[in-house]
Amino acid sequence: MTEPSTNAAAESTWIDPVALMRIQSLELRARVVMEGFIKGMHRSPLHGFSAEFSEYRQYVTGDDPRFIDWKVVARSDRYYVKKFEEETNLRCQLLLDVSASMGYGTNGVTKLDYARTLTATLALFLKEQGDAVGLTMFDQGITEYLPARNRPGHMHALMMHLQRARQGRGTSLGVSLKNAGELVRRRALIVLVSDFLAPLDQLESELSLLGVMRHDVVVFHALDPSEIEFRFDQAAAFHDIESGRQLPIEPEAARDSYLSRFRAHLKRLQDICSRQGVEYLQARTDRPLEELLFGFLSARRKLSVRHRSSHAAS
Amino acid sequence: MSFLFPGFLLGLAAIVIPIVLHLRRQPPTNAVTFSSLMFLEKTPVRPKSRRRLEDWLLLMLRCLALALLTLMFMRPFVRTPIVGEKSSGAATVVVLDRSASMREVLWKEALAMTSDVVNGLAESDAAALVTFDGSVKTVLGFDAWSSAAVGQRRTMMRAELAKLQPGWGSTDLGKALVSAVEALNDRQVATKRIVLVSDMQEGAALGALDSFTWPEDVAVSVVRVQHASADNLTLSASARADDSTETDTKAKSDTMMRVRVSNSAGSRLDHFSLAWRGEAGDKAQGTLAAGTSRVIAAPPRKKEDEDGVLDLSGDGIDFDDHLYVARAHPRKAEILCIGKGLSRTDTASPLFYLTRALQPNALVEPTLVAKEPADLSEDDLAKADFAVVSSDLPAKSVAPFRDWLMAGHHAVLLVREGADNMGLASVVGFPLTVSESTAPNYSMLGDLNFDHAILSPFAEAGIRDFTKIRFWRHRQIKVAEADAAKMEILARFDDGSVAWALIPAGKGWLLMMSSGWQPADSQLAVSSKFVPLLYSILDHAGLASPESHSFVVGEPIPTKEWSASGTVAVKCPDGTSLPWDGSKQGAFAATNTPGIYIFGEGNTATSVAVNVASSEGRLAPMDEQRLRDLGVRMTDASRRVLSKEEAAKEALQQADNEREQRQRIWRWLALAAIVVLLMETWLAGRREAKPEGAAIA
Repeated sequence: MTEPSTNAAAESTWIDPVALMRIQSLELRARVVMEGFIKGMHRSPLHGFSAEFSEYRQYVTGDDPRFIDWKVVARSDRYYVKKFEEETNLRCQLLLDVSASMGYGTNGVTKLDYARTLTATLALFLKEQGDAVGLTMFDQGITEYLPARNRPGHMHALMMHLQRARQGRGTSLGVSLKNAGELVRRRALIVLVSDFLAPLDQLESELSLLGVMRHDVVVFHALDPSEIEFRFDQAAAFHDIESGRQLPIEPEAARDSYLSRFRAHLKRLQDICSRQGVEYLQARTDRPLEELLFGFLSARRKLSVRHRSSHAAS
Repeated sequence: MSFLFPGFLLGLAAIVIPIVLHLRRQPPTNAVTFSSLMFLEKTPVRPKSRRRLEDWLLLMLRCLALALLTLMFMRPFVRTPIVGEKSSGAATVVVLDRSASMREVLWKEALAMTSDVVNGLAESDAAALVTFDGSVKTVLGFDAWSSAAVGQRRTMMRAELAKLQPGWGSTDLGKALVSAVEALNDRQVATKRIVLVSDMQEGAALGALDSFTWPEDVAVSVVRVQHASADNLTLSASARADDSTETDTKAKSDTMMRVRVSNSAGSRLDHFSLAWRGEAGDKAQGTLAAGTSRVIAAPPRKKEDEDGVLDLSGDGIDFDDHLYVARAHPRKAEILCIGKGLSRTDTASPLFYLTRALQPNALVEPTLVAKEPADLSEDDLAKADFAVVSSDLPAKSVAPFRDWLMAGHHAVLLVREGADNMGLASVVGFPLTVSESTAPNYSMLGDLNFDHAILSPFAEAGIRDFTKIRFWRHRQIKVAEADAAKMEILARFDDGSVAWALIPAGKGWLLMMSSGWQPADSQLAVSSKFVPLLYSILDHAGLASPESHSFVVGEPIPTKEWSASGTVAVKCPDGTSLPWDGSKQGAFAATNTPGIYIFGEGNTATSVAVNVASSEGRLAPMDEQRLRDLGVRMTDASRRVLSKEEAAKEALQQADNEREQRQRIWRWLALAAIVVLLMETWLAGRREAKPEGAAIA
């Protein structure tokens, strides 16, 4: 059975990001988002979506009865549970860009708020399904690091870090990814949330290294609609939020050039991700988070089902 | 509309500035924060093709403010007829200095310069000619000028000019300028001018300008006549008070004549000599530095009872080198003798001896007037030059007598036996007690102050012995210790009591004698020292020195200077004789020439000397800044009299100035500029406060 990629009833309840950001508590906000996209899921993706079936093991008291394979019981009259490869080793490291450019936003929603909420929601979701979640925040280098854990209190600490996150300085993707790779030794799901408004020269090599380390990397590209479309019409002195540089710009004259360059940068990023097997998702700040995560998780779910099916067939 | 300063129109060019600034490409003033400029390049900002209305309004206001300010500086006015507007033309007063310093060579040069000035006058304009020295005289007035036919006026003025002669008077320049301004006040012309022809010597008097407000429309042009040389020595009379170098009282009583010799500033002369004209006697010689003056004794005269002239030699300018000296006349002195039962024939009366001692002589002509104390009136005191009091004064006369003393008169008081202490104290001004001395037989003068001027004539060894004069009776006068300093003791008796004491009373003094000079009291009246003592007392009172009558050219001689009454023939220095009745005509005013004026004839004739004012000898040129400092409006001394066209142009300019000052349109323009600037400020502020509009659509 295939699940619809979107559920019309759930979609109607997705909250506009502007309204969502009015919820001051990050954890509450994340929970609202999470429950929003979970409603759209036919089946709860809380477990196993990212796991890969590895083998059966005999049921012992205390195991979750939900993992009992009833077909095996029917066949053998013995109670066996499915053991997933990542069942006890799944960890996720969330990498959040807190550089100054992430502080930009229009219509009352900054990229940082959007990305922070996204990160918090993912963290909550993973924690709910028993995965270990860690957090790394970076700008020109690592500013905060929480290793992936699944202990009581860890989520609270993670939320607190996210809540207190403030935009920093410039962006150095390569350095930050390199440091993250050094910190996360064990295979993990690495979720990178950034606006990627920085040179991409070192990005591909670092992503490649992460791939060699068998990390599963997902990229959320946070962008403001005005960055995507360059919706300015008045001549003004444009002020770079990171460098402080100013340029007098006549938008009508600069728009075509800007879009051309921006799209080229975007394509390059996407090509890099594609080459390195990194999942790329564009996260527009005017797009409901539930929609974004629902689409992401649904795709992931489909991917994990295909994996399990192919694994079971072998 | 016309403008006083049209050149400021160039200021309108400044309007271009706000227009250029308004149209120039301005960098965007609003700022937009963006995440990154990595995809952006600098692009030229297009000029605003569509300016907002507020911008155009601002531009208009700024241009308008600049235009208003420019107009304000141009000082606009409207050429409307002015009420009381003066007609075009000019009025000129030619003021010619004919004082003593202008004599000799200078006068010819002054006449020539004045003639040039007259030649420069326009026949159609108004003109007048006045001369001045110590007084101002109109030679040709405006009316006389105007009454002559056009074309004849300058000729007429030149003819009057040729008749003029220099005078001997002093230079009252202030009075002359004030008089010229007053003559111009009635003239309704555009240009009023005074042309002053003078040597502008520093001795000129300017006092009349001190309190005079110079009108703005009258200007003075100076045509200066230069002395060839300012090296000048001046001879003038010196009053005895001038002799500040003499502090010795003895010398002050000396009747030697003193004169003052002055040397002008910058003079190269320093040596001079004095000699009496017509007398082959001693000369007085001396040296004097430039810019200084000195009082010296004139050489002795051989003919002291005649009029004389003292001549100064040593410089080349002659008019101030002669001092006329009238012969001395005995001074008249009315001596009021106040006492009970005074008699000129009774040897017991003090008046008997006074009458015989004080006879008219070459020095003084005393008149003795006897008065009973009870009959004494204030009129008697007013006429008296001196008083001798030998009795107590009645109470009603004490205060007038005291006032008479305080006013500068002098008296001798003979303290008699049984004198009233109270009355005496009131006369002398402090309390004292008088008692009769109980000295046996007689007393003598034992302690005389020969340093005092009254006794100094007796200071010589042969005549200072007063011991032969016996005083049978005298009073003992006792005063409080504090009041003792108010008396100057001239003599004491051998018992130490005061004999003669001089008591100052205001400007006068009282000589108190504690013993009379009549034989009942003493032998003083019959001693050889009585007469010289009396004359010494009178001399100390200023009544025993001869008077010398001297005045300055132009100064009226009062009637009291000559003794004859009724009409007298006055013989003037130029030889003419003028009949003069002082009682009807008052002071004799025809002192136009220096010399001796003789009033009357024979033994009653009185000589009065009239000399040139010493200020005329100060020939150094006056700095014209002194006149400017007194408010006189001066024009360039080298500026010639304007031609008719130039005068008309200047008159029009002046009329325009006057119109503009009356209309003061510039004030309204300034007010309008202020209002416009306020509006611009408000509008500019409002424009800045308004948001630029969304940077993001």
